[in-house]
Amino acid sequence: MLRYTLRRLLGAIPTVLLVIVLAFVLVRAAPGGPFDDERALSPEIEANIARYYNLDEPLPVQFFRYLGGVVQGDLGPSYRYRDSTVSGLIADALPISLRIGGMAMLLAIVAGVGIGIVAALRQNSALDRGVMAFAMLGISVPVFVFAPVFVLLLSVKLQWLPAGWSSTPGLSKYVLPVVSLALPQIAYIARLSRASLIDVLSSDFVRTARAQGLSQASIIRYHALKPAMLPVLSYMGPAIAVVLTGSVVIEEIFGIPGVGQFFVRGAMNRDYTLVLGIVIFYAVLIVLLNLIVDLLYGLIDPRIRNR
Amino acid sequence: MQPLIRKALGHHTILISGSLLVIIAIFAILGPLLSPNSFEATNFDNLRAPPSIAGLHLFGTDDLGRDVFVRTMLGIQVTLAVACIASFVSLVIGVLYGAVAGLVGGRVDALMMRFVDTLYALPFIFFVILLMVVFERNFLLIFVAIGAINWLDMARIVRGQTLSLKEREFVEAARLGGVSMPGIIWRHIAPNLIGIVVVYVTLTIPQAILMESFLSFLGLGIQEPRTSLGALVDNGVSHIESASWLLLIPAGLLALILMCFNFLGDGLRDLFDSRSST
Amino acid sequence: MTLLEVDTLSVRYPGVTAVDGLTFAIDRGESLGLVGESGSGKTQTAMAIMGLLPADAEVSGDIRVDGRSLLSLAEAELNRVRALEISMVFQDPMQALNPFVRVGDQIARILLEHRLVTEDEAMPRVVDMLDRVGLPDPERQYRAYPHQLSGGMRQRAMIAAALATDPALLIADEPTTALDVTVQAQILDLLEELRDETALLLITHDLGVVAGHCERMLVLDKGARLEEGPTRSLFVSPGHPHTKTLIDAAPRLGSAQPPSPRTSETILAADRVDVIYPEDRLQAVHSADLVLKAGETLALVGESGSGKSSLVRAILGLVTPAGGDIEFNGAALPPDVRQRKPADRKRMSMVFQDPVGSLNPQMRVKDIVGEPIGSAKHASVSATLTRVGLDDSFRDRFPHQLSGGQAQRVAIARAIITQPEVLVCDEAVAALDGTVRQQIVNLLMSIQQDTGLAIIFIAHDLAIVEGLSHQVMVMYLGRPVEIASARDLFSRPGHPYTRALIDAVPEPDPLSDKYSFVRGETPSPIAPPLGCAFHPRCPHAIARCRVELPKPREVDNRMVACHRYEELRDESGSVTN
Repeated sequence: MLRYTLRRLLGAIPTVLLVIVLAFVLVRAAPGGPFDDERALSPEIEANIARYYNLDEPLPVQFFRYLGGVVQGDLGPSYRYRDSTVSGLIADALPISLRIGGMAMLLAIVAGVGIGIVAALRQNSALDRGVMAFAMLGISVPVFVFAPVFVLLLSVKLQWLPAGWSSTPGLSKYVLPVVSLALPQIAYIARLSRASLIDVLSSDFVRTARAQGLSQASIIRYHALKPAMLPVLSYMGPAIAVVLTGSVVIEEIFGIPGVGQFFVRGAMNRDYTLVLGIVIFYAVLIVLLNLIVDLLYGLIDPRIRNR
Repeated sequence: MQPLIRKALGHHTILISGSLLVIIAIFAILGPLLSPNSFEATNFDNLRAPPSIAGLHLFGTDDLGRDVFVRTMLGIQVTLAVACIASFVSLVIGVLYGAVAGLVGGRVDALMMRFVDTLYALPFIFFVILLMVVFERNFLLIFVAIGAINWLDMARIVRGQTLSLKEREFVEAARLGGVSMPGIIWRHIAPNLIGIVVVYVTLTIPQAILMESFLSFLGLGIQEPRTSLGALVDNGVSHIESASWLLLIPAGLLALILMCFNFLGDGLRDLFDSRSST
Repeated sequence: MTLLEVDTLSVRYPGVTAVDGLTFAIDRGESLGLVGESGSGKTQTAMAIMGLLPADAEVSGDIRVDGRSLLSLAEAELNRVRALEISMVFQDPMQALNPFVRVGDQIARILLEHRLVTEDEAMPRVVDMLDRVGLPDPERQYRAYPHQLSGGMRQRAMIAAALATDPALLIADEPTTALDVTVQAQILDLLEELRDETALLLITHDLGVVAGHCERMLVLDKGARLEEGPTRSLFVSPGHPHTKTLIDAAPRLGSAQPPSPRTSETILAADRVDVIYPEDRLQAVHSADLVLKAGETLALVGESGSGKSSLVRAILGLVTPAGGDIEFNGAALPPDVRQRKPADRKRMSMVFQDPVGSLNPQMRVKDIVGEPIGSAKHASVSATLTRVGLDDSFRDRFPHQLSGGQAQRVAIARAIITQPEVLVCDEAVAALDGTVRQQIVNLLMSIQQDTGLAIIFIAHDLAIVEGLSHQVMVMYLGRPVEIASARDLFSRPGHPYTRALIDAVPEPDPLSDKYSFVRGETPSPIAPPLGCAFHPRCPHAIARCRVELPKPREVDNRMVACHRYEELRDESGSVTN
């Protein structure tokens, strides 16, 4: 298990490096500088700006300077939000994004797994078919369709829930963003856990357990649940990435001042350092969370643990 | 192959979702040709008109008075084209990469798959956004970028399948019988890969559609006056209170198309699974 | 007193009848063998008794235990019957145990479920049970996961689970089919020893197993009872011709005289071949020699891990050997098949174990057979198909439209169409039913007679090869331990392992009292024992065997790798364990 952990940790380093190199090169390969579209600047001012942002150094020097900063958690200054650092901007916006993302993941896992298990146990019943049809709808309809439709129905037409963010106090403003963000994941996880549980329940070792007179409840609790949840666990890595992506849209639609909104704004007005910083931050986050998922997997599956 | 087609037509999911897709595609192509309206002509006397027969604005008009029916049909065309081309890109890269890794095997394979694992952990969508920002909104780039993301699954699946086919006894028998490598690939490996490749291409298309509409929704995809379903949804969200059809019609069609592809992929997987197990 | 009554039981699926009006009974403590070929409904009957049939099965008739009908029982009551009255051991112990749960916990769960023990009592009870089924260091094995146990150990654990509740009836469904022959004997003996008051329903295709372990037997064919009676009398005077066919087709030692050795030229020679699989960190073959004479059949025998398949794969060039030379007709062959001249490649061909899996599912029979000669239209395709006993109606079929025997005939046609000089059959009949197996063996022998083809016949079971091989080579953990003419080897085995293999063959004769077997299982090739690889299992091992690897020696017209051959042999040269 220790070797497995170490191997996984070492394996994550090249991924993170690759992210930084790719993102850095992409941004620097951009045709035109970040300040091109502003009113014409005199050459001295342009040179000053370039010097201020270290843009006058050779590219490799810039890269290692940047990398050095990244290691210390410094993602450089923002091009647009003068006087702000990228790290500062992310730190300010992160709590709210994490709260929404975390709640959505939690909801997705609890509801998805619950629905999946119920559907698997009533396989091919009307309930199962109905739930799975809804799940298909859930994985087919994108977040940015769900969210506005919810707003239209629940906020505009029925006025049950607030549509805005900044003006509303309390928890009710979280409901729509979190549910919209979680819905596709609930659907996906429900399908996944249903298929996986059905698969496990038809395995030979469950047949053995039946032959040993174990009740359905015991079989699920002691034999089937753990193996059935492994595919769900390995989906957690991709799910985290999808939820982060979705949060960009959700924050845009609901006007939530989170990291995603900064990202979209940064992309719109070509705040390269900000966009670069957020990409790197998200990549590291995803790699780290994937690592945790991998290690959990190793903990649960004895065939991996004993390697 | 013929009995397979007959079996596919007997499969309700495949039949229904497949024919729905064909009907939608035909509408998307013929609709704009038959309608008297154009996708870009504005009419400031007829802003946000609800759907009606009058003036043949079947889906109403948008905030610039343009005909939503023609724009939606055009959007479907663009969305489907982007998705199909992107899926084709991912098909080509994925199948080639996976087949090479699987056929060569050994260290090359291990290295190639290590690279895929590394890419898997990247938040690709953010890279695409970065790409779009840096290189402006280049239509062609969208295809390539989306295709370049989606090849990973295909590569993994094709590689796994190739590896296991290579170990199969009929391939060993062919090697012993003096059949050349191209002959083995052509007669023994490729025909046994087709099924799984078809299934995964079908499941890649909705992913590409999602990604394209996601970019368009953020204003990073197709540029005005051209449009796609994602861009139409984006526009619809802005007028959600005053003209809900601007959101509901493209959103509904987007969802319908995605569902059809997902059902089709599921159905095909069913078909190929049951065939390989018997 | 009657324990189990099966009354006109039928099991139907849409379009298929699996069990057709079957009636039989088992008394308390009795052992009944349920015999038949694959598809005869044996397992379906067992599943029906256990209530484990899939949902689309339609069951009629009745199944009673102690007079109580099982088919009408509620789930909870059925669960109590399943554990406390009937329990079951399945064929594949790897699949039948949950890989995620410790072996001991799986058994403890049964006892806890039925409140036979308290939480505190469970572990000692299970450890005691594991000890009884012969698991060494039972406390440690309690905490082991199934993948950490060998195949035989897993099956022992399954038996411990099945007998833990002290049931009145034990159903064993092909309990040894997935195991090595020497382990099979141990497991059957263990079942016999532990079951005492428990009745046994033993399901098997192997009449040798029934002959040794069941008082009565019931022959099934196409889901219906063919005949039933005391095992002894049915073996002596089978009432139904199919029963007689089954008994005759059962592999038995001494039933056929091995052909006399050939004195022809050597056609194929392997010299000190090593095969290493670096990914698995194991050496499968250690410095093995092999000599094949023109027109002879060489049987290559050994259990899993013996390296027999790896050795022939290296000879054929399917794996590249790490060392050693291969000579064909006196000329050295390049190690990799791709570097061999096409003409040379066509002089050696192979028939595989899995009849259907060795044919490309996308190709028609004529294309499969025609591929090595580059044409499906060639007249020799039809001629070769006729030679293997398939008429022209098979030309356009796909593999899934063939039975196992037909598929194996197609594979043989593909192998002989290039008129090879050497044919390798890798467990080519192991997956076939007894009667079909005999037909395929006969076909191979008649082809050999016609064409003078030399055959390497790989098998894990000695009985199959006795009647067809000129020479026999026995391998253990990657090394040949004995090479001798079939006549010598079967009448006078020279190596304790050869003797163990011969003793392990279950004899299809209820009167036979031969029953000695070797202990233990083949160790993993990843960590082979020092000295003689067989010493941990050998009844004759001495200190020297533990440290010094025995060199293969030519003695008494045979090659044998044993330090103690001279001491152990009797006047005829035979070794007894």
